[in-house]
Amino acid sequence: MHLDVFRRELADHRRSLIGCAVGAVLLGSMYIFFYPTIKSSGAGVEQLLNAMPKGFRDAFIGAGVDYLSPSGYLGTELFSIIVPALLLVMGVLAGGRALAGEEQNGTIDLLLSTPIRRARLTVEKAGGVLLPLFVVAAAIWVVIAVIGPSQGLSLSLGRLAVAVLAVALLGAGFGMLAFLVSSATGSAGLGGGSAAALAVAMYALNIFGSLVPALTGFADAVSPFHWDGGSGALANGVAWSGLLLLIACPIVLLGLSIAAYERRDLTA
Amino acid sequence: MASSPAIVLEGLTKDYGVKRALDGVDLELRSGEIFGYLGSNGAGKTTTIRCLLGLIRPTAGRATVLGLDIEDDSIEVRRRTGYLPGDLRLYPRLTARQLLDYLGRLRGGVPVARVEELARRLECDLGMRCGAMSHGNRQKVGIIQALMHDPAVLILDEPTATLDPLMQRIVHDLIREARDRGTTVFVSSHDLPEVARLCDRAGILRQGRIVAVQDVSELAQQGRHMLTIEFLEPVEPEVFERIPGVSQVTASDQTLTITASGDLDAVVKAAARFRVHALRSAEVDLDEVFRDYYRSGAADAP
Repeated sequence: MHLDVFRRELADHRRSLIGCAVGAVLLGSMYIFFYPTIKSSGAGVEQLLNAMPKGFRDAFIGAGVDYLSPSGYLGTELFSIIVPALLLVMGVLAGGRALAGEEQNGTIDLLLSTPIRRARLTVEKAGGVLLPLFVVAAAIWVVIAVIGPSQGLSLSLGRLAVAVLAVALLGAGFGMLAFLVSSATGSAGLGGGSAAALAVAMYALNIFGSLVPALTGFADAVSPFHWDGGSGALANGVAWSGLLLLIACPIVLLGLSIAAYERRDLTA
Repeated sequence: MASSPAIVLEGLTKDYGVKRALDGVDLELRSGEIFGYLGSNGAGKTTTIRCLLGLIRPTAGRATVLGLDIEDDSIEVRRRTGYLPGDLRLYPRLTARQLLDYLGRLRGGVPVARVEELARRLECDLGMRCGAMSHGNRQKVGIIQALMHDPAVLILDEPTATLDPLMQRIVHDLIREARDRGTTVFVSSHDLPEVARLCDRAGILRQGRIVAVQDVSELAQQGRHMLTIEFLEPVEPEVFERIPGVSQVTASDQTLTITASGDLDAVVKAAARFRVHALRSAEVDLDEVFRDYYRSGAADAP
């Protein structure tokens, strides 16, 4: 047994992985090539942004971040919504489907009639969910690092690496939540749906946290969308505490998934 | 190994919520026999089998396969067992060869020559995508994966239900060959004639309980026929009721319906004394046989 399930999982979904990676590269390049135009209309954009209430501005651009700087621009355009959303959708769909899909398709009987431990199956399936997230995150890093400087987008590649890692971990966390719920219940839809709902709620909480001072402390502590630094990740970096939480979540959820799956009656 | 039983079930019980699917099943399979597990749909055959494979956990009781506990040693049980699920589903996008290669790898590798030989015997095109296969062809792939590692125990859930008679015979041959090599075969079926043809012994499961375990030769004698005879003249039903083995005679006009077990010779000879227009014979369906066992409670375990 040499990671056969893991490799099968990647092979079965290579098309969607390639599609997501290509999409991320195209999306990234598009924003990179827009940058010179946006920057040349600088004064107008600044005026528009300064007209916004400070809370809104901070929520979408990051506190104290200059929108027209390379890290402010990429942080706002890519790291506030688009890239997290892409990796979240990838993680949640794959996480819901990976193990529960075998049950719903009725192939689990065949798979688990071979001498493979359920814990091993769970870990390899989870690996198949997680690796693509990091591949797509890496593709985003590469496209910004390679094309960015030609369009005036020079920034710390180390900080960029931490930012894409944090967003990949965000997708991993919600992906593993979908994985946990679906492997505990046998329903891919329930797993994906509950993780997606929680992600939306946490995103909203993060926005409200920036707008409502009374909520700020609570939202920052609870919402993973704060942990990853949000749109300020490139300008301000990602806090160690947030990064550790982002790393811990998928690991804990995977551990719970293994325990939940181990003794369950599998649906025929 | 030859003398010790290959599969032992002791009070195996499975509840689904409030519904009891298996109710204290005791069973012993001898090493190297083909054992038929007979029961109508919903009797608990698949539940028993999925317990043995560790896919579901028994509520109470225990079972061993080759002396290995099905819960504590599930990995080892599965390593030595070939399994054909009752509701077989394959990966539609894989070809049969890719699927068998995948399952073979999970078993630590199986000889390619063995897979090719089985495919040839079953006339199975390994290059075809599983999703494009007919039901019968998918079933062949399922049979190949169950047999390809030459397991010591074969657990087959309704293996030939969807195969044409010719393929049924080939599968029966493969099962017998496995038995002749020493493999113990546990095969579920709702088809009494099939069990009679294939198996050495059979157990009858009804509503989660074993109601009979018998040598198949004995079971066949229990097989009953229902004869419908249309006469061209009035006949006295009493003539037939007196014949030994006849359990029931119903008359309407000049047509008699006779339920009889064992030899039909006396019935046919009695009928021959009258002018017969038509004669039809049907095996009494399995459920009748079950009901008989259920009523009499003839659970003469080995």
